[in-house]
Amino acid sequence: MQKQFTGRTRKKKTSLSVKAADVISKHVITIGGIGTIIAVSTVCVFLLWVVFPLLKQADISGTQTIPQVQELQAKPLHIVLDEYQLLALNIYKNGSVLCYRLDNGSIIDTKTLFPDKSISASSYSFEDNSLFLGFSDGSISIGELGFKTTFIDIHDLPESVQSIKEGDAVPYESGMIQRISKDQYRMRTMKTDFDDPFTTESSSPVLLLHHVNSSRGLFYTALYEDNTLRINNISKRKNILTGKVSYKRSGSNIDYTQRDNQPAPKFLLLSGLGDSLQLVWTDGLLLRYDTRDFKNIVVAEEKNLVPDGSSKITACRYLLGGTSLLAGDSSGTVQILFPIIDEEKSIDKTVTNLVAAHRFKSENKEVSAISTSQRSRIIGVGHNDGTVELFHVTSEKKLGSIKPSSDSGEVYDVVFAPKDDALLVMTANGLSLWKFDPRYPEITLSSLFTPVWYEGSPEPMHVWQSSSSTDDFEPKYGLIPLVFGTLKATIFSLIFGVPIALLAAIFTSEFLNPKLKSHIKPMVELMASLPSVVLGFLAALVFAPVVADNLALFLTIFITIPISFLLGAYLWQLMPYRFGLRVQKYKFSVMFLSVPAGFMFAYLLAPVIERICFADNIILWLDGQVGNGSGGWFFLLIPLAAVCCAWIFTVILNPALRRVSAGYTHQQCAVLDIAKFLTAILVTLLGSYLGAHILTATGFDPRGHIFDTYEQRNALVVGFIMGFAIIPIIYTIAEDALNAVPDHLRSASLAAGATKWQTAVRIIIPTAMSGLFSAIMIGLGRAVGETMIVLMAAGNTPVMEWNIFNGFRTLSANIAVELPEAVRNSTHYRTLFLAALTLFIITFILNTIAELVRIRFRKKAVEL
Amino acid sequence: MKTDAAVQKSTESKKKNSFKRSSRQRAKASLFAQGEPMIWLTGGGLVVSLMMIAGLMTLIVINGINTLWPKPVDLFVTYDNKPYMGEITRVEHFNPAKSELHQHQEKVNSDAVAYFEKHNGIAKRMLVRTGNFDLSGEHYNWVNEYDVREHTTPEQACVVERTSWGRFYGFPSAFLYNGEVIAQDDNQIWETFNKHHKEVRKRWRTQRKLETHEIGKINFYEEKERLKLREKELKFGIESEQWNTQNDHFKSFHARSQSAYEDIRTEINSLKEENDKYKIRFTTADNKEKIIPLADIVRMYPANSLTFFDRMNIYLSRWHEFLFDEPREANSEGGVFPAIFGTVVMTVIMSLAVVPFGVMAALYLREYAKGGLVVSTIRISINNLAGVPSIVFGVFGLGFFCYMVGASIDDIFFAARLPNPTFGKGGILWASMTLALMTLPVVIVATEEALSAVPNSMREGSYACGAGKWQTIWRIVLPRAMPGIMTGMILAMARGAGEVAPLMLVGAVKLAPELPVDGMFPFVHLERSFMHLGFHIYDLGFQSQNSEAAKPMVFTTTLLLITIVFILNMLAVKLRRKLRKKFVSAKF
Repeated sequence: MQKQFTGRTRKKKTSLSVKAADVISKHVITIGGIGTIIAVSTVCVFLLWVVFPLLKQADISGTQTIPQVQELQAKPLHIVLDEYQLLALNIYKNGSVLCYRLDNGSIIDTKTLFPDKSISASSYSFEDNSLFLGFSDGSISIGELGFKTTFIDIHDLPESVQSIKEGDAVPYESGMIQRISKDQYRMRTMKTDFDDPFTTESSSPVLLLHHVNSSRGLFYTALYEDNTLRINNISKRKNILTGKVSYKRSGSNIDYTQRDNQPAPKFLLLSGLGDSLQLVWTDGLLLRYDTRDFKNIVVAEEKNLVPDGSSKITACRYLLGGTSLLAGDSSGTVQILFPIIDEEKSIDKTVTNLVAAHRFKSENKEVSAISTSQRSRIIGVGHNDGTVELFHVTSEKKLGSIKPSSDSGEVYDVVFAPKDDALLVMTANGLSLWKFDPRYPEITLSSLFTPVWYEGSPEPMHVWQSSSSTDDFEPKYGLIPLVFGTLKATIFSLIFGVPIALLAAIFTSEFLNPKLKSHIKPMVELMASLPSVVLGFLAALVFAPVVADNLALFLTIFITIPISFLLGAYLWQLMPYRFGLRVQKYKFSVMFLSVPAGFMFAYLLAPVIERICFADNIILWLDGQVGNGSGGWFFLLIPLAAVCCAWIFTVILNPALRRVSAGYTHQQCAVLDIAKFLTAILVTLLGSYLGAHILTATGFDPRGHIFDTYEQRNALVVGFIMGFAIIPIIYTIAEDALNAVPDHLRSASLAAGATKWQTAVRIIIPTAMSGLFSAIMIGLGRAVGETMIVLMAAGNTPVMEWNIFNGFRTLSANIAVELPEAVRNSTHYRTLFLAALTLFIITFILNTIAELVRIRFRKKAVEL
Repeated sequence: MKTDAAVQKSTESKKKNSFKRSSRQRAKASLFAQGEPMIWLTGGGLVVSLMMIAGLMTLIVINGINTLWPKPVDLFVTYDNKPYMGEITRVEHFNPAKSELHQHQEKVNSDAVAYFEKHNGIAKRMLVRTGNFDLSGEHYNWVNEYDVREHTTPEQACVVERTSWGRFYGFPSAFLYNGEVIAQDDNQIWETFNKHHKEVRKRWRTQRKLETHEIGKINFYEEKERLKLREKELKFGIESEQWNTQNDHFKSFHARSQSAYEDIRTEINSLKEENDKYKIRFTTADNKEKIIPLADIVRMYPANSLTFFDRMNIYLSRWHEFLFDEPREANSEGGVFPAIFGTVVMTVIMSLAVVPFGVMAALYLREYAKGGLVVSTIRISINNLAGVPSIVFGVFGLGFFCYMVGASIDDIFFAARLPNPTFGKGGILWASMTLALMTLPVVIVATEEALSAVPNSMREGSYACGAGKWQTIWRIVLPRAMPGIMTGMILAMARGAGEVAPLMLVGAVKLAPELPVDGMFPFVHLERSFMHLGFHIYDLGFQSQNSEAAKPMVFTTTLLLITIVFILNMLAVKLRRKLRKKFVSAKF
């Protein structure tokens, strides 16, 4: 039969081009599709990748042991490190200064200071390289010890030096010369510049000496062997004609007596501003003098640093900035103390107490040296077994520890390079240089999310303050205030937005004429696309000033609008039944009248409320200047009382009323209902009035918590305007959920005799509950991440107060404000990325929950 | 409680049954059950949200439309003989301090005292835009109504919009040509003004064009040559053979462009010289004299003697300026053309990036991927990404595109320009990419929805006819899904056009000197930063020094932005409806 087929033979093979197209398209789409999905998920991975290094330890590597040289073996008074890490110098007690190369330890320059005198005390400051030397005859010399730079012309150099490679350094004359670019040669040499010693108030040997160069002037303090303790403000003068240097000193002797049966104090320290002076004995006693007024120097505090007396203080010095005192003891503990204001004793906030805010402990290794970084709050703690541990003071992060060699012996000194990029460790067995990168010492997980004890604050606190104008500023990276701000914005906007959105969704889905619905729903959805920058601008420049001027009116509106809607309903009921049925279709239009009515009530009521509750001026009242708390409580309790009252009335009064009204006509019922409503209002007012008085009588004042001083850009304004952003979203999703409830449930309920309202409340809403929940979740997600509105209208101060009338700073606004200025890959930059990651995670979790709930709900709805 | 209520209900219904049924009874029994108050409360939610939208729109539309309408000029003379002439911007009622009242009573100022008595101590004050910043140092002044002795609207008062120093309010007193008065009478001045203003402005525009475009071009090409030279230097070292040839080339090029520059300069100078001859002398309300070159006057009109058509004319010309001109006076005057242009270019680049990839991802998920846990997880994640805050994408864009990808591109292709970053900073490409990533979920979800709306019967039919998979997708599925894909694209564009937060981080700037697309090779400059309408609003409202003067501008820009966004959204809604209809008909 088949052979009789005369037509074209059927091609049995798919043409090659179609096949090829299939294969190609399959691969292209698969690769493109998966690639796109991967690209999207890169966001999270990349954020993590940027944030992750924050938690890494510091990088200490590239040790370079400097060959031992006989002359350098002894314990020096001070070590100074060159910022280019070519040279270092040691100064010894006999006055000799040795300058040596850091690469091979060879000494290239020596000098002896004051060979005819014997140094008995010294004080060195890294900030200006100034050195004070105290001598055994009581005289003191001031000078500078450090390095100087000279640029040498290429033609003045010998051939061998000229030919070195860029970046290389060779010794030349008494220093090192380094080629820094094609034809630039930089020479580093030792700089010693000392003035002649001047005689001082005492001629006995100087025991202890310390100086600071503060913004108030140059101060030094000295303790002599004859127990004279002296503080001086000193300034240098140079005679123009003779070139002779003279010093002008002013100061006073401090009342000091030697302690019985005790050696002399071991440490004498001046604070960074020269306003307090510390004497520390090895047994732990610290005597602090208040030296703000030289005419009246008194002992401000006596403190025992080792109360149990089990260990001895072995090292003591100031941290960068001269406010925090570091004290290390023989048990291996280093404590960091700074003065905080004593709230109890001081009236004018001048009495301060030292408090041990941080404590670093190592196991039973005596602290032999403490050193501080010259540009950050990193400290190096050297122990007698040769280990050096590095800590960041504020975050209490241990950055790492190093041990030059197994038998290095006691650590004499640790010196940080001026740029914090190297570390010179001097032990009894020699010198070693370590490359050092502190990375992100300010950040630990706990410094981000738990209270941190910042210098000068009375207790550990959550603070976000990323930058400041001063150099020795302590950056404060606590994310909690920002998380708090985000939470505050979210909560206030949800309190406002969720009820409106859900109510509107219920009405649209259950009671609105379908024709009208098809117009209204897209309109509300359109609002969702309103750019948030527009909302933010309106909130801050239009809305905020208006609210500030009419605060009482605005607050009253929140109460009068719902009441006017309810009143409208009760009045509507008064209509004759048949007539009411006929005008049913106009009901929605009539509802619109309630808003102006509510406004009018508010306008009439606001002055009254302001007079009764807020002592006639709400702004002053909020500031706590006038009136008492009961007005505020009254206002706050109204919604609560209204809910209680409504509940009581529905549960107890309604059944009774129904029984009573069994024989009444429709109108009689309506009148009864309206009477009930008015009674309810009265009961509500009475209830909140009573509650307010009880609360005030027990001493609670809402001011200081939820109410406080008014700021123009505040949570109320943000909450209201953010409502515009979240209402459409919640509304759309909630309405979809309500709509997804199968119609047969609705029909069944109505057929069983339930009213529309009963159907809505008992059938539809419970069924759609999970859908409504996911709507709220998604609204929450939007509120959490909203940026422009809070950026423009929230004032952006990172405070942690629940006050509805002040501002806050959210994670998102913080990123928008600070990220453009943050230096790439700095701690600040990475912390801001962490903020973004936090936002990402919060919203991702919220959305996932919402999505899962929604999927479950959809399944359930289909099953029904 | 529930059980209680249920019991109540059942007893109630039993009671009801025992009564004789009548229509009256049914009515009253349902009154409480109808929950009318609660229905009203839910309706209230809808009414409030609708009113909020309506109020917001009205506010923006009214303010946006009103802003450019020429207002009359009022002259207030206070009791201490200070004249304030200008446009009233705002009126406020306030409660003056008691001390101020006493001050007035002491001055034996009976009118003011009477005023207070009449108004119960509440006074009105007006914020008058007095302009003349170059003379007085103020743009705005508050005038208390009780201080005003005389209020007039002088016929000759004239508003001058200038290219610098803000607005000027005054009376024209003479028209100067070459320093000589050629018109003194009011009508004559206007006549000469109308006669000369157009040509002077035309010359001014030519001059501007020469200054920005032509000289800009010269600089642009010379910079290019310089970069070539630097490239050679980096590659072969300075004073190498290649470098020397390039250097010679550069020198000759430089000489040529220098001479071209001189030519343009002379042309500009001649234009300037011609323009400098025309000037107008004004007298201000406080009798100061001011001479303004005609070339500096953008627009001048006698505000109080305008007919409706004159006003309309000015209004329309202002709109024209707003839409098609560049901003001046730190963005607070002039137009927003660069911002519109930037927004459009960015949105277009974004769509070019987002649509192909979004569609591809959706096709993969819907047509190719095998269903299962993985795909549904991916779907959930993509849905979720739509909810991730836009600022997070901005942070990602800055860190990934600008600092990582951009910096690498710079290292490889633009080493000559370093240390100045080319792609290693915010720019229109990175902004578009960031927004593309942000709107990707929108497109994927919309496309997927559209693909799933194409009934399987059509696919099966196509396969049955012997079509391959790709043929089916290309000829059957995609055309049916097109409206859905378009919806996704438009929604993405609307979101992209309205988004500001990520743009602040990846390239939107206050004032971009050059447009991202222009006449210079390679015509599209993807690395340039750009202006954006949304960012313009933020910047004007919050960063400008003269925020009061900028406020009207913000409203107009806002109106423009939401018009664009709404039109796009409305289109999307329309398309979606169309799609739904198609989908419904395909069922049968």
